[in-house]
Amino acid sequence: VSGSAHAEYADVLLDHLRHPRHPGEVTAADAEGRAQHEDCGDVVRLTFRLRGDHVAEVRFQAAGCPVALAAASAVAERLAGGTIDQALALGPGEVERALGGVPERKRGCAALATEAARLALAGRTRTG
Amino acid sequence: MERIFLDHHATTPVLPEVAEAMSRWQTERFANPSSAVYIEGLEASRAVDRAREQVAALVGARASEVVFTSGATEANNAALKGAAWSRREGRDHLLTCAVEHKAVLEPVEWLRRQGVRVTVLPVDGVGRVDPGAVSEVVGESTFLVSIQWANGEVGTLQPVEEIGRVCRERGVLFHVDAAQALGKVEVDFGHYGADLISLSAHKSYGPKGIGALVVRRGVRIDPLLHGGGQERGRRSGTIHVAGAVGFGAACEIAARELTDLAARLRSLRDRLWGGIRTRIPRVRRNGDPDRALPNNLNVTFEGVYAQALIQGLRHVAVSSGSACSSSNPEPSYVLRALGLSDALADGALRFGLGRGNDERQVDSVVEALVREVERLRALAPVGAP
Repeated sequence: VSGSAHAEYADVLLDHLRHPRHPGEVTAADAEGRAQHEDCGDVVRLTFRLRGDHVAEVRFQAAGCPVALAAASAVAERLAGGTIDQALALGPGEVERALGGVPERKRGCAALATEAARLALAGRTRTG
Repeated sequence: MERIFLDHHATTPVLPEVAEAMSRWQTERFANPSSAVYIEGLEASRAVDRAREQVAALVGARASEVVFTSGATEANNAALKGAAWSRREGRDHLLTCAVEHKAVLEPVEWLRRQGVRVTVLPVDGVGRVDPGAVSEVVGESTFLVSIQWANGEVGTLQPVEEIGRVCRERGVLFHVDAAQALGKVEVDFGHYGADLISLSAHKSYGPKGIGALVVRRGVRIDPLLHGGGQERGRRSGTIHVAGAVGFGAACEIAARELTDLAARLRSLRDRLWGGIRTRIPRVRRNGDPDRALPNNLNVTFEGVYAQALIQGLRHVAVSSGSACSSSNPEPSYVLRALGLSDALADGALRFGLGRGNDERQVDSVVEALVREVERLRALAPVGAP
């Protein structure tokens, strides 16, 4: 028998919630971005150590619902070791897919982490 | 790891004795109790009569006052709509309160759309209705007051005795939704002056799909269901015999064990709250600590989102709100009615203790809460809500 242990959240989302990737804060960060949901108050903060056009280290902090937390973890996992261009190209739709889908009403929470990344890294690229 | 069920406000397990009592009424004894002209039907009819007596005995009513329904939702609908349909001319006003179950608030909203004037009384910070406010609002045109016995989220017991007195003095029907109270606290129909009481079996170790509306002798309300005239014309439809037998058996056990069970649940609840408040900073208890269901504990863990916390408590079944609406993203309307901000309501867990729980389980839940709340708070950035 397969299937998620939750009616709305996929197992991969619950796994991020229970075993977050790259939690915490980069000390003496080169860049940081913070995004907060206007309605529900969920908040995601990403801190970065950059090396050239690469993300040498990324860590997330988050407070809020399961989707906001899991999305922050998933985004940190995706960005670690990649380029800044790749980080800026990561959209909320891809994060939702990486989490096995999110409920329609939670899409704003899922988008907080990519927004925090954009706020941190926009203008940091060599090309952009 | 052993699963720990702490959501007994949502439902309870059917006790083995109850299941045993029900079993034969689903298989070899299948006759329709309305067919009491032959022995099989007569036996079914007698089984239902006995169940009716058992239910009546638990709530201090006469057996003839018990009308079996499919559950408390139907009972609430039957009481509210039936009272509205039977009201005297010139009486168009109904009074209820903000923390009622949706099975009261939604039929009330439906009646409002049909032209009934509705007053929804607020509650105070612990979830209690002020009987003085009921007295002020009840007027010449009021035909019904509907106030719950106990709240299913925060456990607060309403002052039903005082409200019942006001209703009697003014000649207004008084309906009480006692679904959460049955089997947890004494529900004495005769003493408290209610005219209509809604009951549910599955909240008190009986089966799902059966409940009752207790209708005081002499009170006439139009039925919700018309048909074969079962339940003396008050609720048509073939009675769920096995369900009624199970409901009766559960009520008999509840009547026998209520005092001991309440004391045991209260002790477990106090142990749970004691563990939480001494081990975890920034917690607050929601509801009335003095006049509450013995098995309820509603706690806000500040800075933590309850739905995230629940997912971390992997071996515990617990709720962040009433089960009927926990898939709804909105913060609990009950906690908001108590004056909690959205952030505090979002951080609230509802614990509902039951017969199967013990001290070891409670201690295990406290340990898990300490760990998970600390973990989630550590994830939060500085300045998070």
